[in-house]
Amino acid sequence: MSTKSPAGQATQPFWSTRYGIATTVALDNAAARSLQAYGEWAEQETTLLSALLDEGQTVLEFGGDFAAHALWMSQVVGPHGQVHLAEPRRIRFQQACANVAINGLDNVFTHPVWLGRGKGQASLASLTPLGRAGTDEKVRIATVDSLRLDALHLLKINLSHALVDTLAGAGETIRTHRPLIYARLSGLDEAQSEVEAIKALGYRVWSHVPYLYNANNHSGSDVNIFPGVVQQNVIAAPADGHFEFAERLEL
Amino acid sequence: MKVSSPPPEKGHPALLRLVLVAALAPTLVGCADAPDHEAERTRRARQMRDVARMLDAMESPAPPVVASQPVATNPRVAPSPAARDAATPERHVASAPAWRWSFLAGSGGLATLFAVIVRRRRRSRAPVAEAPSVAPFFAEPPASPVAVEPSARRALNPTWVYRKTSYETPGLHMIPSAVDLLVPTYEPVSPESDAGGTYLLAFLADAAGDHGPFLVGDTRFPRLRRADATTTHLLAWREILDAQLDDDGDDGRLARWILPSLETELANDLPHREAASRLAAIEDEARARQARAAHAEPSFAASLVPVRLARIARMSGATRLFALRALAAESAGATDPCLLDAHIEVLLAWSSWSLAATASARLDDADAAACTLATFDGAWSARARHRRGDIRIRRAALRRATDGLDDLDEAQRLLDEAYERMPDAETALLAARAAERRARCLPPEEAASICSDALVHAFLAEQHPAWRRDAQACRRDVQRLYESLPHDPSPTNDEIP
Repeated sequence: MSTKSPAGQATQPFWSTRYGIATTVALDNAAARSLQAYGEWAEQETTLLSALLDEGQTVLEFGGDFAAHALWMSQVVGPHGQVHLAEPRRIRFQQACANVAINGLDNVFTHPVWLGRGKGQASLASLTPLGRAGTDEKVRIATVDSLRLDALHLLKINLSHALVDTLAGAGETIRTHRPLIYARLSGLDEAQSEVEAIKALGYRVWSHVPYLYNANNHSGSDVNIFPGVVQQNVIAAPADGHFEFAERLEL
Repeated sequence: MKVSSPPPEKGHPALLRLVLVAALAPTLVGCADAPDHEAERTRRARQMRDVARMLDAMESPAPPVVASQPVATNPRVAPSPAARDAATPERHVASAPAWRWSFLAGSGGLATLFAVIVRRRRRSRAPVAEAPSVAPFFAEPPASPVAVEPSARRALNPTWVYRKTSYETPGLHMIPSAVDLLVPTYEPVSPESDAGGTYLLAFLADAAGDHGPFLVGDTRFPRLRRADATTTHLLAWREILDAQLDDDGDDGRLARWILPSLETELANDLPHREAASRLAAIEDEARARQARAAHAEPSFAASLVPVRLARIARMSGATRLFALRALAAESAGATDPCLLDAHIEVLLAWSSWSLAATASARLDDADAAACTLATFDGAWSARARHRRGDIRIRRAALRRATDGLDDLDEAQRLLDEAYERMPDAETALLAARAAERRARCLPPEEAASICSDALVHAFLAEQHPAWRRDAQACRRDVQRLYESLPHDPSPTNDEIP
């Protein structure tokens, strides 16, 4: 495990994480800080989703998070499965690719695109308020349907303010493969419309609120740098399927 | 309260006065002048006769029947002397002088007085008959305690009589001996005895008592069930097992089989991180013992499954999944029934940590392994049916309520077969759970009868202390379910024949 410099920047080229090696990045976001402090990111999401994934399945993840989750999903689906990782931000995309490469993940496929309603280009700031001031960039827009996936078992959307547009461009894929959907909600203003967009596809939706701090973290750290912080996520399954999630709040 | 009749002496002062009057009256008459009118004498004589008859009537009362007969309606009743005298007023004794009559009357009066006094004295001496009283029925018990012999005191205990009510639990056919598979009748033997065999089981059962831990399932490869055992109870067992670890006989083999499970339970009492390191040490120690053993034990890997599952339970995220995959891969393809059963245990644990199709896939794998286990004879065949019934129940839980009914029906059938072959409490409890969940999927009229079936199985499972708590919880669930069903009100006591 690397140490943290007084300036808050990493001083070693790699972090040893729970599911592989990760290149050090600037600690200007929660995912990077968690990888640096705990050797893992949003582990409670991992706990839930690893109970849903199986070998040979296909996953599409929108928002790379430095491939932190692609590392374990690649192992879960195994050599006969696939993990598709879409990351529109140029540097983030390259950092994710680096982690995929140094861990030798043959079954991970990366896509430098924003998954939206149609094809084209747009500034990142026009799509999402994620970018900091002065970091806006043009990104390429594509639809999920345009990826022409042979199978899809899980659609995982990490970026906020992206859910409705992504689903709008994934109609054919969702109708064909009926994947599970796991998404981060975008806040008070958009949560209702986002849940309605999922239900409009014939899905049932349950709430999932994982804490960012995992007491049983990989580094064994007792220091909680995310005290009380949770993510507002949802998990959705086709209403005509057998999926039951009785212990979760259905929305 | 005491009620008694008034004393008989109270009515006699008036009687005495009458007698005295009767005695003095003739004397006065005798002292009167001789030339009294004849009519006056006749009247007074009649009065004296009336007084005498009145006295006779008072001394000897007439029978009530006769007294109550109306005189006018009885023609045979003779007229009274007074009436006869009144009818013949002209009859006189003119020849007798007056003093003679007076003397005779006075003598008669005195004689009468004497007779009355004598009679009264006799009556006062004679015992007075007690009048009937209700007092004895309300008599208080004696205030002073009565000395009773100890044996007599015991005999005074009340005898309780229980009446049937509508709330009475129906009678059950209990087979307690059938579920006590692993607890032989304990006979104190010396630990140094070289007889071998079941001594270890007897010692463990004696140390456990009713709180546990317990050994359940197959007698050769029993499974540890903690129940209400505390750390102290587990430590007592560990001391017994440690003493047998180096034995080459059955006791040694059994001790080496049980100890990893026991150590796992002890590790569960430790804080999270200490437990993780302790579990790793337990696995290392078991492997070291196996390496030192004179004979390789095919079932050794199965004895480590509880330890490894406990370690996996402490993992998070995909780490748990990867560890489960590795463990399942090790036990896959086993041909020994003990290892096969352990493989099923791993798959069931995996399915319990999975969701939806992933969990269903693990259950399919477990069912395939259970079908292989069913090809073995004896208890393993019953165990395989138990496993398959369990798998059906879990599969039904992954579906919506009514969609899982087919699986629950099949589970009930398999568990009934398993119980018929091996009637143990664990199977009875599982059958009760299957019935309870079936009842939830059925209309009320069918659910009621299935609830009673579930209650019977839950009662059977309660007979073994290892499963008592779970069985009671199951019974409560069934009772709540039954009470929630719309049905006719229970018959009252009056309606029960």
